[in-house]
Amino acid sequence: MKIEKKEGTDLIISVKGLHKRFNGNPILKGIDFAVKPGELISIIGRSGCGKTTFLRCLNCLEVLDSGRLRIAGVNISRGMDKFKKRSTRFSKIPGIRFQKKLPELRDATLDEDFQLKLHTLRTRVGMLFQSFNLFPHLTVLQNVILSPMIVKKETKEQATLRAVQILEKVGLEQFIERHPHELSGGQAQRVAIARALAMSPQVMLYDEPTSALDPELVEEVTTVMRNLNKEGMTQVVVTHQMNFAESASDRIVYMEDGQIVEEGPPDMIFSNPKDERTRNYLKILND
Amino acid sequence: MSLKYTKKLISIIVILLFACNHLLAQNQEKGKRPVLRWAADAESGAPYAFQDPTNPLKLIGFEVDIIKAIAEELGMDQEHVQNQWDGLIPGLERNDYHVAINGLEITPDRERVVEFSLPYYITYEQLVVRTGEEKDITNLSDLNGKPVGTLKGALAERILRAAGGIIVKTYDSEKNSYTELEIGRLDAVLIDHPVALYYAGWNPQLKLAGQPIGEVTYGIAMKKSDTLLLNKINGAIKKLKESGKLREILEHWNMWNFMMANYMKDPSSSNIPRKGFEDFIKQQKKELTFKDYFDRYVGFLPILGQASLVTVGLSIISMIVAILLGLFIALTRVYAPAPFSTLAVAYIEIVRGTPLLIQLFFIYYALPMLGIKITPFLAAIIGLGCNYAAYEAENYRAGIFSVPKGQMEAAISLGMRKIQALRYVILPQAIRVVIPPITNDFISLLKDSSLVSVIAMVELTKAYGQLSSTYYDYIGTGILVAILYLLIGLPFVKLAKLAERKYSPELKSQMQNGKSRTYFTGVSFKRLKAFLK
Repeated sequence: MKIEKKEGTDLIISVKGLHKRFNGNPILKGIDFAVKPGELISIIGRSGCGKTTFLRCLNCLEVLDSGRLRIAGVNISRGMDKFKKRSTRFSKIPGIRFQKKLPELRDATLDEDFQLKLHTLRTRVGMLFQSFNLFPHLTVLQNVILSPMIVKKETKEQATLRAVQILEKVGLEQFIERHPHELSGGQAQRVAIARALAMSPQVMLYDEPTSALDPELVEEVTTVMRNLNKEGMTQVVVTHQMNFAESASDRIVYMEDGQIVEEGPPDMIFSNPKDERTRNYLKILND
Repeated sequence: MSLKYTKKLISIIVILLFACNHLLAQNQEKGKRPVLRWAADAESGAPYAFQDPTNPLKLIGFEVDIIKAIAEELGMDQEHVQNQWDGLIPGLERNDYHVAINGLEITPDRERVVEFSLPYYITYEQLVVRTGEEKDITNLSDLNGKPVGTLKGALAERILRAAGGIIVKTYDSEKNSYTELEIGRLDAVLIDHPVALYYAGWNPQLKLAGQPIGEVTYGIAMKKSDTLLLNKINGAIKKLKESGKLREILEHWNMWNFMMANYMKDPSSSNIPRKGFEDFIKQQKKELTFKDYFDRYVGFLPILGQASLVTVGLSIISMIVAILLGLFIALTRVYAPAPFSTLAVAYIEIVRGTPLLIQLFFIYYALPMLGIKITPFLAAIIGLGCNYAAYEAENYRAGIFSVPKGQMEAAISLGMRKIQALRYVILPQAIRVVIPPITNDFISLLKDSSLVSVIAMVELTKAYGQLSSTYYDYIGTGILVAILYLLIGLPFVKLAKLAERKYSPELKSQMQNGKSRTYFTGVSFKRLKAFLK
C-alpha cells in the first residue's frame, strides 16, 4: 500500500510539516501524513512520543502551530512566522537581552471564520477518548442524541430512531435508558463510539480507546472497530494493543520523538522494520 | 421540562410580589384629606410609640397621641411609617415621610442636618439602681469606677462620659440595660426619665434614685428647607399647649413633670386620669397564666405571619436574583476574555469583601442623592441579591471546575459550540455539585434578610424586636421567631434535596428502581418501543 501520492481528492487526511509546541517545547517536529478513505491506521510508539498530541491536532483539540492540515474537506494551515519573528526580537547587542516592543501578534485562532472551520471539522470527525468522557448526567440514549439534536437540529424522533439503530450496531440496544455509571468500561466505550457515529463522521479518531479497559473487555470494543472498518469508515487509532494493531490495521505508523519514523503495512512493520528505532521499540515490547 | 418549571417559578414570583406589594401598600388608601406621614420606630417602646399590649396590631404611645392631635389641628390624616431609629433622619432626606417623632433630642448636631419644631416634651435623665442601693447612689459622683449603662448615642451617654471615672456601657435597647442592672452586671442605668418610669418604676428589683440630671428636649424633626411645614407644625403645637390638650396627653401617660410645668407656665395640679400609664403597668405586673401566654402568642401570629411573608418573599426573590446574576458572573469570570473576567473578579472581591449592611445603606440612602429613588423592598432585593450573587458566582465556579476537562473536549469533539457545551454538558453536571452550597447560602440569606430592617422594612427579626420590647418578653417571643425561621427554611432544604436527586443520576436510579423511567424527552420506554415498531 503505497502512500506516495499527491494531495488529491482521494486523500481524506493529509498533513504537511505539522509542528506543535507546548510552552516552547517542541512536541511535534514536522509531521507528514496521509490517509485514504476507508483505511484503518494504527499509530504506535513510546509514551511521550507525541502520538496523542498528533491525534488531538487532527481534530484541532490542539491547534497546530505551523504546517498544513487537510481533513474531511477542511483546510487548516498556519505559518511559521510567529516563532521565527519571536526569535529575532531580541537585541543584537551582546550581553543585553531585552525585547523590542513589537505589536502583539493577533491570535488568529480566535477569528470567527477560523472557529467556524473548526466547528465544521468537528462535525465531520469523530473523536474517542481513553476515559470515554460520556456525559454522566444523561442516559445512554440522551448521550447519543444530544449532539445530533443541538448541532444538526434533528428532531427528537429522527435522532432517536438513528440512535437506536446505531446502538443496535454496537450491541447496546438493551441499555439505552441506563446511565453511564451503570455500564462496564467496554459498554461505555461502545456508547462513546455510537455517540460519535450519530454525527455521521467521515473520520473516526481513537485515543487509546482500550487502555482503560479490563483485558477481557477489550475485544468487544475492537470488534466494533473492525466492523466499522469493513463498512468503509476511515479510522485512526493511537494504541498500545499490538495484537489489534497487527491484525486489524491497514497500515501502522511508528512515531518517536515527535516525528514519524516509519510506516507501512502491519506485516512489514512487525516482521521486517527498516528503521533501527522501530526495531528497538518492538524488541522491548517482545521482551 | 424547563418550560414547565420556569412557568411555575414565574407564577410563584408574581404571587410573592403581589403579596409583598399588598403588604406595603395597604396603608396607603385613606380619605381625601391630605396625609401627614410620620415616622417612628415601633421598637422604641413605651411610652413613645409601641404596640398596644392588648392588641399588637395597634400602635399607641404619647407621641402617637401628639402627632394625631397635631394632624387633627392641621385638618390632615396621619399615617405611620416604620423605620429603624438610626434611620429616622436619613429617611427624611429620602422623602419617605414628612416628619419624624420618636424621642429625638434637640441637639446642635442634629439641628445642623434637620429642622426641629418647638419642643413637645422636656424631661431629664434618671438614675436607676437596684433596690436597697438607692441610699448609697444618689448622684453621678457615687458611681466613680462603676459600670453604668445607657442608650447608645443618647444625651445620657455624653453626660456619663463627661462625668469621668465611670465605666460607660451602651446598649441598643434600654430594656436590656435594666436587665443587666437587675442581674448585677451594671451598678446603675442613666436614661431619659419616661423610660425609667415605664421599664424600671414598676419593677420591685429596681429603684429610681437621686435627683434629675440634665435636661432633654424632644422636638419633631423635618427636612431643613421645609419652612411651610415647620410653621404649620409649630402653630399646631402652640395650639395644643394653649388648649391644654398637650397636658392632657402627658398626664394620660403620667409624663407631666416640673420641667413641663415651667415650660408651659402652668404650675397647677390636675386630676386628669393617668390611664395610659396605669394600663401599661398593670399589663407588666400581671401574673401571667399559661393561657395568657398562649393568647399572647396567638395574638402575635398576624404580625409575625405578615413579617414572615416579607422575609420569605424577600429571600426567595433575592436568591433568584443571586442565582441568575451569580451564574452570569461566574461564566464571565471563567470564560470571558480578559477585561470582562477581570471585572467579574473585581465585582466578586468588592461585594464579598464589604459589609452587607453598608451596601444596603448605600443603595437605600446614597442612591437617592444621585436621583435614583427606590422602594425599601426593591432596595432590599437589589442589596441582598447582588451581595449573594458574589457568593453564588464562586459556588458556580467551583461547580464548573469540578466537571472533568474531558467533558468539554468530548462535547466540542461532537461539534458543539462552547456555549452549547456549557448549557447541555457542563452546567447540568456543575449544578449537582453546587446545590448543597447554594442551599446553605439560601438559609444564610434567610437570616441575613433581617439586616434589611435598617432600611425601613419590617421583617421577622424586626417584628421580634417590636413585640419583645412591648411585652418585655424576649425569651418566649425569641423562641417563637426562631421556630418560624426554622419552619421557613426546612421546605427549601427538602426542595434542594429533591433537586440534588434530580440532577444526580446515581441517586435518581436508586430512587426509581422498579418504577417506569422516562427520558428527558418525556417519553416512556414502552411508548418509545411502540413508536419504533
